[in-house]
Amino acid sequence: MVLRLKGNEGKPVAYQVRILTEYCKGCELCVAVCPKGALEMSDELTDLGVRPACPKADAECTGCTLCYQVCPDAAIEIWETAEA
Amino acid sequence: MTQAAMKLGRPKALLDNRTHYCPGCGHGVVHRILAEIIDEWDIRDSCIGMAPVGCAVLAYQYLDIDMCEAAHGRTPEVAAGVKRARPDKLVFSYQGDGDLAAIGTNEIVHVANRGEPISVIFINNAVYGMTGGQMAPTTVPGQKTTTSPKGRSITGEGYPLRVCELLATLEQPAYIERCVIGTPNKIRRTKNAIKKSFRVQRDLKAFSLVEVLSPCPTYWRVPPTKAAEYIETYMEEIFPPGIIKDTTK
Ligand SMILES: Cc1ncc(C[n+]2csc(CCOP(=O)(O)OP(=O)(O)O)c2C)c(N)n1
Ligand code: SF4
Ligand code: SF4
Ligand code: SF4
Repeated sequence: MVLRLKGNEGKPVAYQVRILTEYCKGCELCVAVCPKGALEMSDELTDLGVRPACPKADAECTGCTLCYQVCPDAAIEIWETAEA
Repeated sequence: MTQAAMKLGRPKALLDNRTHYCPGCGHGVVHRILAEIIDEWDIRDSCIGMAPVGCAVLAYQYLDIDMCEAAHGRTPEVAAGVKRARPDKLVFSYQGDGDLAAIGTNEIVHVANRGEPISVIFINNAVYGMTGGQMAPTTVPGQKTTTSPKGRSITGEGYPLRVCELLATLEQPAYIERCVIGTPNKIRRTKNAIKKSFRVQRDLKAFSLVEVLSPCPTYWRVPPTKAAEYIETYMEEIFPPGIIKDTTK
């Protein structure tokens, strides 16, 4: 099934994973679970002093939501994107 | 132009506060599951939770619902009282294994035995987390904790207490299941079980309990990414996941 953005009928969507770094505690569960290797740990420290997860530049996110399911800090959002 | 729409994000019933839980702690996953169900059922104004004494003592700072706090282990009795006073509300008791299976053993047994129509979410992480990782009645044989530095011995400390199996011998509980915070699949099953427990309360007005084998990476002394394996290797044999009792069918 191809999901579609409202008002964008007919055009297939892509997915984007976003990390809410203010909640992330750097547990790495999302990185370990992602079947696409679309996440990695950042080198930048947050105010908590942890290295947060971040999307890998050239990797493809399929929107499978596995990273969201395992995240203990609800620090992950999955977005749908489409060319209008 | 690229359009973007959020498909999945923080549930509305989760407050904006960052939790005080350690990285990889199972409490956070169970809080999110609860918040998702509260959103899906639209019960933010008609659901009352009981926070335990234990690491989840501040659960009311994370869940956007009415919550009460009770003395250590007494949450099921307070929940039963709240439910009797407000039978129209969905009432759940959220408790750790030190809270429920040690100091509160008396309360959970009698509340279950009377078939009080509440839902109990029982977080079994095999240690007392809040106070520094001491041995709990649910600590597995050989497990090293701050008060069993050589590993839990059966001769000295007895076998782990299986709360689900114990309560399943009682007449009144309608539904008892043991779940796991581990792989995404197991996490989904945990969510389904908690939903079912809420349905049992709403539709059958009966007692139910969902035990959740839940990571405490800090006091198991493993990285969060090894916690799921830890549960599978050391806990699931002692505490087999699955439905322990179900009279709803
Ligand atoms: C009457 C009383 N006795 C002892 C304590 C100390 N105490 C606080 S939390 C706790 C154990 C909590 O362990 P558990 O219920 O397993 O929850 P966790 O922290 O692991 O989530 C104890 C013994 C207390 N607060 N009150
Ligand atoms: S949604 Fe799936 S593919 Fe995308 S980052 Fe998360 S786990 Fe990876
Ligand atoms: S699972 Fe959540 S808290 Fe852990 S590293 Fe990923 S985003 Fe951060
Ligand atoms: S001590 Fe254990 S149970 Fe408590 S917050 Fe840390 S990981 Fe969670």
